[in-house]
Formats: sequence, C-alpha cells, structure tokens
Amino acid sequence: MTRYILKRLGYSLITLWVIVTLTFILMHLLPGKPFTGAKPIPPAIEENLNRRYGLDQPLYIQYGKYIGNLLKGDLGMSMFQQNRSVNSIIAEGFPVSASLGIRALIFALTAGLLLGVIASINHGKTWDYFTMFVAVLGVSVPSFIIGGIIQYIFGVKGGIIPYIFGVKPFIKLPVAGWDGFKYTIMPSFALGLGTLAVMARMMRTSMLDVLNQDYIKTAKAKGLPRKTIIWRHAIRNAILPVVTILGPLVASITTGTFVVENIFGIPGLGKHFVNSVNQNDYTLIMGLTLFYAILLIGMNFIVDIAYGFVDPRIRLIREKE
Amino acid sequence: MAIEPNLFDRVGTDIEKSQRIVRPSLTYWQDAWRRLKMNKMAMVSLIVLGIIVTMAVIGPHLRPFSFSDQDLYAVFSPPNAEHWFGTDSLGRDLFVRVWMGARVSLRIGIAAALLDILIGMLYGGISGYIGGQTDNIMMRIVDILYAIPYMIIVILLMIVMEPGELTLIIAMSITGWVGTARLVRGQVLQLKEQEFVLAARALGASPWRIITRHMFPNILGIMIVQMTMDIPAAIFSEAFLSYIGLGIKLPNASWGSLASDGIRQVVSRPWLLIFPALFISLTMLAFNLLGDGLRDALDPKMRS
Repeated sequence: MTRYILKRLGYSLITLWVIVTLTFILMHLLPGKPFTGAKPIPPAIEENLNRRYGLDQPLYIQYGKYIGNLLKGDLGMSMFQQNRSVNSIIAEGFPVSASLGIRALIFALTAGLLLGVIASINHGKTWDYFTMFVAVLGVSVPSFIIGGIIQYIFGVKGGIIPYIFGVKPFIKLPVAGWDGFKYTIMPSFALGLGTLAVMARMMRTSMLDVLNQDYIKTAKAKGLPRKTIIWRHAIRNAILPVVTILGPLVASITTGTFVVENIFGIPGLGKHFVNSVNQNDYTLIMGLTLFYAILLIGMNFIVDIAYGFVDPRIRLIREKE
Repeated sequence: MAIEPNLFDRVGTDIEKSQRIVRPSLTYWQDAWRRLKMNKMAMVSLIVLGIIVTMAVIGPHLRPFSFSDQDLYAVFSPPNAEHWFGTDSLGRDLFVRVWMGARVSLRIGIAAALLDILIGMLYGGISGYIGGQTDNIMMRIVDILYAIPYMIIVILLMIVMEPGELTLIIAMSITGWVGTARLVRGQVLQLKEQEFVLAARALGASPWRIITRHMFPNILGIMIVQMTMDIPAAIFSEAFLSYIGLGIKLPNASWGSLASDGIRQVVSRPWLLIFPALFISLTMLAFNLLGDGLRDALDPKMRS
C-alpha cells in the first residue's frame, strides 16, 4: 500500500509540473500583453511595469523565477488587480466558493442518491419514470436560466404562489449577495441541480446492476427483510461507482462556477477563471490553473485511497501489482 | 383403469419441423431498433428531435422576415399573429431567430460531438490496443489535459482564434475528447482479449485493421449513446459561452445567445427567454431520454 501511495504521489508531482509548464507556454502564446489593454499607456510606464513584473527578461528566466517562487508557495502578484497577490485572491475567493460548493454537493448527494434508490427499487414503474424525468429535467435547463427564474420567483416576487391553505409557503429570499444562510439557499439549489441529476441516474444504474446479482438472490432466499437487503447489501455495493466520480466533482464544484456566482452576486473564485484570461493576467491564470489541478489531483488521490478502504477487493489487486 | 403402454403413441421428432425458423432472424441493429421501439419515452424523444430538426430546416422560411431584418416600429412586441414569438430590442422576429439559432446550436452540437468521438476513438483505441508503455504515456497525457480547467482552455481558444462557429466547435472538441478516449480505451482493453481479435491477428491483419474493422464496430453502440450525451453537452457549453459573451457574433444567433439575451429582461419581456429556453430544454430532454433508451436497447447484457 505504501509503495502504491508513493508511486501515485510521484506521478501527481510530474503531472503538476507538466501542467505548470504547459500553461506557462500557452499563456505567453496569447496575443496581447498584460499591459496593452483598452487604454493605451505611455511606453515609459509600460516599460517600468514590464520590469516590475519581470516581463522584460527572456522567457526561460521568467520561467525559472516562477518555478522558484512556486516552490516557496508564492504564486506571484496579479498583473491586472494592482498590488494584490494571487495567493490573497485565491485565499479570499476559495472559502466562499467552497462553502457554496459543499452546500450544493450535500444537497445534490442526499437528494440524488435518494431519487436513484427510489427509482431502482421501483424499476419500470411510475416512480421510476417520475424520478428519472425529474433528474433529466435537472440537466436539461442551463444553470443561468434556472438561476434567473428562481431568483425571480423567490427573490423578486417573494413567493409567486402566495398562499396554500392559508399558509404562506415561501419566505422571501435575498436576491443576491453573500451574508448568511439565507443567501446560500438559492445558489446552492441552482448549483446542485445538475449534479443531483447525474447522481440520481448513476445511482439508479448502479443499483439495478447490483440488484441483479446472485448475492441479492441469496439474501432474499435467506428470508432477510427487504429493508436489510436494500440498506446493507444493495446500497453499500451500489454506492462505489458514485464514490469514484466524487473526486473530480468536489474539485470542480468547490472552485466556483462563473454563472451561478455571477447571477447571485457571490464573491467567489468563479469570475476570476473567466476574467483572468480576458485580461491577460498571466500570474492569475497560472495560479488558478495550478490551484484547480492540485485540488483535482489531490481529490482523486484521496478518493482512490478511500476506495481501497471501502472496497477490500481493490486493495488486493493493488497489492499484487 | 390400468395404464398400458399401448395407450401411448410415440410422436418422435420431425427433423424438418424442428429445424424450421419460426421468426425471421434479426441482426443486432434490427433487434436494438425493435427494443427501442418499445421504449415510449425514447420514441417520443425521437419524434420531438425529428420535429425540431425539420423546423430548423424549414422554420426560417415560414415567415416573411429574415433573421436580421429590423423593424423599429415593432420593437419588443409580444407574441402576436404577425410575429409568432414576438420581437426583440431591434424588432427582429423571434420565431425566425429561434429557428436560425436552432441551426447554429444543432450544427455546433453535432459537429463537436462527432469530432469528440472521432478523436476519442482513435486515441483510446490506439492507446488500449498497443498497451504497455505507450498506453501508460498516452493516458498520462490524458490525465494532464483532464486536470487543466476546461473553461480556461476554451476561453483562451476563443480569444486566440476568430470568434465564430468553427472556433466554438474546435474549442469544445479539444476539451471534450478526453472522456471518450478513456471510455474507448477501457472497452478496447476488454475486447483485446477476445478470440476474434486473436483470430484476426493470426490471419495477419494489421493493428490498424484490427482496431478499425474489428474493435470499432463492437463499441459503436456505446459510442452512439455517448454521442447523445455529447451533443447536449456541447449545446450547453455554447449557451454558457454566449452567456459570458464569447459565443456567436451578432446578428447571428444561437439558442444560447438568445436565452442569455432573454434572461436579462425576463421580468418585462418574458417571451424573449421563454422560447429559446423552451427549445434548449426540450432538445436536452429529448437527447437525454433517447440516450437512456438507446443504452438499454444497445446493451447486450440486457438482451433476454
């Protein structure tokens, strides 16, 4: 096991190094320079700026310096947002995006897995069709449309169907911002809906597969109650494939999405992914790419190790290698 | 009453009868089609998609407007007899624009999905078939591409290249093929061990021939399912890029660009959002349900 972990760690480091190098090259191929923006600046100032950020030096020296700083954990200064380090931009945006992402993930996981299980144990019946239809509907509407619509219904109108049996069903939710629990409800829903649908469909397929296995027949033949079969025999096995996709999912959902954060005015990381490229902000592009890659590789790594603990069969295969 | 042997009559086997073929024999594809036909949701989806494609072809010709005709006397008019879906900020007919947008969105979706699958099949096929160190290196490259945020690559490309349909297609397939390649590789690794591949090898078929002639037909079913997932994914990405302002250039329109225009004025002019959003969602829904149906129909494990 230790050997396996060390090997994986080595691969991960090489992957990260290649990613850094690749983005570095790609970025410098971008047309335009960081300081040749919309408003022209005097050449003397541009020269000074270039000197300050080390852009006047040959590429290989810039690259060497960047790698050197990177090893110290320094991602450099943002070239567009003056006097802000990339580290501080990430440190500011990531907690917000991660908090939102984790909420969305919890919502998507609980509801999605539940729907998937319900669909699979009612295979071919009305409930199956209903839950799957809901799930597919979830992936069928672009998030900016869902976001905009729920913002209008719950935020602007404050409950478009005002009374059911004399009770006001909706509290008016804040339209946008990031200032406490009330602000997180709508964006978490908008963000989690797509994931929910993916989860539900995956869980359904996986459950159907497991329910056809011989050991389920054995369990039934033994006369075990249906509840025990589903909870202890079926779900525990069916959940494994879902665990595998959790790695990339956590990485992408916690680093923020442009659309949802934009609609609900959330000060997360999402906007930087889009703006940094538009603004030729070299250091920020590099920093974000690297940050995302580390998170993704790290998550995959954790999931992989965890998988071995959840499923002893996997561990055996690895030890043989 | 006693039971005696002479009460029984030996029937025997009629060789001709037992050999007779009762039902017409079905090929794999005929069988799959038969099963797909039994899936109501999938068939409805197929019809819906058929209608949408037909409308994309003939829709813009049904009304006497072109997609860029401006009528400044009929700005923001709600749906009426003359403008079936209403008009936008420049008095352009939304009905015509929605179907012109359908052409663009569907073209992007289908082209990107085809490219994805082509690259993914070749890459995954070669990687899986050759195996060993080659496979190892090729899959490392896939891992690396996978770890770079897809959005950064797409936006980068959209800035470097001229904005337009072709760029959108290239940007999406450059990031999209990675998943397909992994899927194909997994399949090829399984198929490689089967006897028919061994037989082909023994007959002296070249690796290229084995991959393209013996393996690809066997993963075609999975690829068709993959395609019904890739097309909506590409249409979605296009909608997202339109939302951040990197999509199709005006006065051209796509569903994504129409919807993102519409969302900004959903309160005062809801029709500008409703129609494009409706058709995006309907198309996504139909592709997804059709994909589910196809998966059930093409999966040999489900055959009974």
